[in-house]
Amino acid sequence: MLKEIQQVFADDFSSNSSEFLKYIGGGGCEEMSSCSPAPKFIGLDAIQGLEIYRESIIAGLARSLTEIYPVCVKLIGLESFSLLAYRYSENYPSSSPSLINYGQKFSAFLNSIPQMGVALPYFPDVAALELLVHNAYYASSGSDIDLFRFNQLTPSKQSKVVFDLTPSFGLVSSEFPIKHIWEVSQDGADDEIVSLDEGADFLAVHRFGNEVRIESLSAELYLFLGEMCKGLTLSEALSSVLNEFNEFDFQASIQLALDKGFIYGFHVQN
Amino acid sequence: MSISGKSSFKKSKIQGVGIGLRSCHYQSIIQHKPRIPWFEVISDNYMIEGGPELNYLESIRNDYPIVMHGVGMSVGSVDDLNMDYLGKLRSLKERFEPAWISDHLCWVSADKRYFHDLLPLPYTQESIDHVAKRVQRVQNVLGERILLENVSNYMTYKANEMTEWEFLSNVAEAADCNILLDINNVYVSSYNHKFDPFLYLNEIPVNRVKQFHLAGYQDKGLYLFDSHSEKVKPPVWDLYEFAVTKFGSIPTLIEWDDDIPSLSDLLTEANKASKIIWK
Ligand SMILES: [Fe+2]
Repeated sequence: MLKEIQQVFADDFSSNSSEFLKYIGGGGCEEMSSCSPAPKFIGLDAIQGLEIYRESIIAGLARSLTEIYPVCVKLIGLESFSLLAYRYSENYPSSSPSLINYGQKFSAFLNSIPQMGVALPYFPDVAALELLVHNAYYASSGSDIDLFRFNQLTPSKQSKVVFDLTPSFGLVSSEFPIKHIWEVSQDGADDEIVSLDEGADFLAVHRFGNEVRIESLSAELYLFLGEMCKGLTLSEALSSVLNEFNEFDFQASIQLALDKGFIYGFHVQN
Repeated sequence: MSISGKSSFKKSKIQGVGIGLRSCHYQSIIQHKPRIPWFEVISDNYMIEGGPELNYLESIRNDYPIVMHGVGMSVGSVDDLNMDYLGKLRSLKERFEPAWISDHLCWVSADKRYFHDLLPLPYTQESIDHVAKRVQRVQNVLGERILLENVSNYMTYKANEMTEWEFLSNVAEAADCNILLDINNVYVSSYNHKFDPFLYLNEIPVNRVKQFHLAGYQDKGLYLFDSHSEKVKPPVWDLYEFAVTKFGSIPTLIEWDDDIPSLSDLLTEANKASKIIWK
């Protein structure tokens, strides 16, 4: 019985039906007057009871999105954001016991809304940036890379090195100035108008100590780090970038990635 | 004078009225070290890989005893016990040494989908057996007895074979676990299902109850909703006074999760409970 009840509850959510009602009783005049000697179910009726739980579940998921995406809330207002958050929550179940992990597909969901590209073309990208900030905040800290060991490798071994990016590291790009939009949406930021013509953003997000940082990158470094995120070796990543940017400064780029603390380890691929 | 090589958490007893640790109060607690006997920490919020939250908790734990309270154990679910969750809970226990760990007598997941809401179980022998088995496994993993909390309730299963208070008592007995009695939840459920909340408290075994929760509900007209966003309401204070006479000066927590007020407002609410508990 327990298994059946829980399965039906879950199925109802996916199919938007109310089969679960058959398991719960409720008040209501009819039942109360026909029950003798004492009514078994008084108080909330079944439909009301089920509705309270459904509303509470969806509202809880939606509320968690307002915590993960505070800039998005600011950009369109709580009321409009809640409409989107409710729609997401109704369609994207949570698979983790922790709400900290919810809302990972929110940006993709926003992109799937046809009117979004016309009305708020930058909005899904801002959401993608906020998710990286959120995830970086809770990620484990990386350790320092052992550069001595790296420098001892032969050049041929070095070319087969795959860098491990720090656990909080993430990349996002947009044709809109999403970093600037994010900055002016922070509490205490000056009132500033952001022009959408400011240009594209290529960003890395990572946590340094307790602070989540958003770093602007060149298009070529963005591509290079993206290739490293995929697990490509140094030589593979390099040739991929040189295909598009033949003036790519490899030495300076690696140095920058190290200085910023993007890289925390490496292994040599066989 | 004694010098210890490694600092260790104070193993102070949990006594009196504590409050829930919420991130908006971290700075104020660390800076001002207010006189609060203990904090209840939402364990799920710290099942993370790293970052500042764990550092804040560590710093606060250095100055205050804590208990850990969870919402994701889902002891009533028929899905497999989430061993990853339990492993993380055990790690938190080892790192932060809470005086005890609690969760709810409910299910929050089904078919591998988490609802993040405290769904009530049918009050049946099948549910008792199921929960008891799972709680015993949890207690084996954690190496200690946990506390299960009664949830507020908005629906009645046709399959019910007993009252809620019988169900709670029977589960605690069968699982050999303790009870976290949420006085507000008792009141909310009693209003919604028209039973006598004093009778409920009278039927709970005294020796199992180790903690009380107090919180505010919202009056929705037809029913009361356990919102954790308000001050404790007068009928709940009355019920609490009765609970203290029956169960004794059990450690009590003021729960507040939405529209969280300032620390000093929370302390005012805690002082009201202290006056009752130490009367
Ligand atoms: Fe509670």
